[in-house]
Amino acid sequence: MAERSATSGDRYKNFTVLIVDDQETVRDAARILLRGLGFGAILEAANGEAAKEQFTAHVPDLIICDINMAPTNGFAFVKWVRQRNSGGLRTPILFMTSHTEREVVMKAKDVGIDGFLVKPVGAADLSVRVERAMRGYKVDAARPS
Amino acid sequence: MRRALGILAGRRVLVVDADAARAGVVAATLAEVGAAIEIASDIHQALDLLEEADPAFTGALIAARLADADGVVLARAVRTSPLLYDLRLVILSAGVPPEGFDVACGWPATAASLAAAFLDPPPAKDTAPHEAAPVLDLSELESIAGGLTLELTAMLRRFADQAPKMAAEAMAAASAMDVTAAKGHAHALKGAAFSAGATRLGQAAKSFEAAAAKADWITASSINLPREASDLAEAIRGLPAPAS
Repeated sequence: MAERSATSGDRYKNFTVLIVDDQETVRDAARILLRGLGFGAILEAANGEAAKEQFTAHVPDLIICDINMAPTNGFAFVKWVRQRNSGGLRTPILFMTSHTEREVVMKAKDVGIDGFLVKPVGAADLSVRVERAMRGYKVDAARPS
Repeated sequence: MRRALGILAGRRVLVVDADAARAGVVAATLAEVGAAIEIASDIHQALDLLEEADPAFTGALIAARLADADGVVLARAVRTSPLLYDLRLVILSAGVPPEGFDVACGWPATAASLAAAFLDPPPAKDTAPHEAAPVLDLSELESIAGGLTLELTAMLRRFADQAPKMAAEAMAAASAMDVTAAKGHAHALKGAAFSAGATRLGQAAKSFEAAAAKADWITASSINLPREASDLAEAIRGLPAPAS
């Protein structure tokens, strides 16, 4: 489930984003929005287990992840990613959810996410949160694609 | 109503406005009633100040239009920031506060109206019936996708096929008085519907989810999710052919 866009001249054109959500419609909409931001490669996974496979195979530069999924939910997947982040590389991760209760937000902070996207995700919200999550990441470096 | 000098003493407020002159006036007025003030002009500067502040800000007064986006975008970013959960958000605009804001304060503002905005309890929010929402609002997706593209149309058709089954599953769970399943199915339907621009179905699913969470089966059963899904499918079938 990978695709490359023809978008060029954008700051994210050499970067790969992984969308993890069990709802196909949510992934579809997110893909359209992320292509609008200029991501060069957009990967998708329908749950945390499939996301682990995508992460291992492609090492995405950004992960946008739902929380409620089976068999592996967003919290478990983020913990798994953080255990594999090493050598100064810390993959930016945004939770995409409609759960904004305090306990969920605090638990997300504890597992090491870089921000929230509240469903329904709009282009402006996405742009702000992606830019902030990727600050300090290698956005200005040319990553081999 | 006259507010005493110093009534906001001990409170730290961020004024966010692209209009430097107005920001200066607002900041001076808030300072008159005792608040400690800082000023930002755009979303990123505001979030940097808010998330890194020590001591933390107690509130932010945000103009409707900022240098790089509108105030609602900043409010949404604040509401979902783990560090800013309890921040009082005031929009510098008359009328009903938009989503994410606690209160609205019209411009020109007085010391009394600004103090009230940071002290008085926020008014109860109106809950508009889902029937008031449009069946399909594709403005955002179309603007990003570059019109009603093949990809966007394919997404909508897939969702039109899936939505009736999702609606039926939620209704069946409500009939069985299964709180967990009814909430879960409605939650999934809500997320997918809003993502696809199916605003009315999304609102209906949101109301259904809230009713199911309280085991309020009378309210839940009064929300006709299958009919909303059917209306959506009809609206999608009625869309013009996509640009190839």
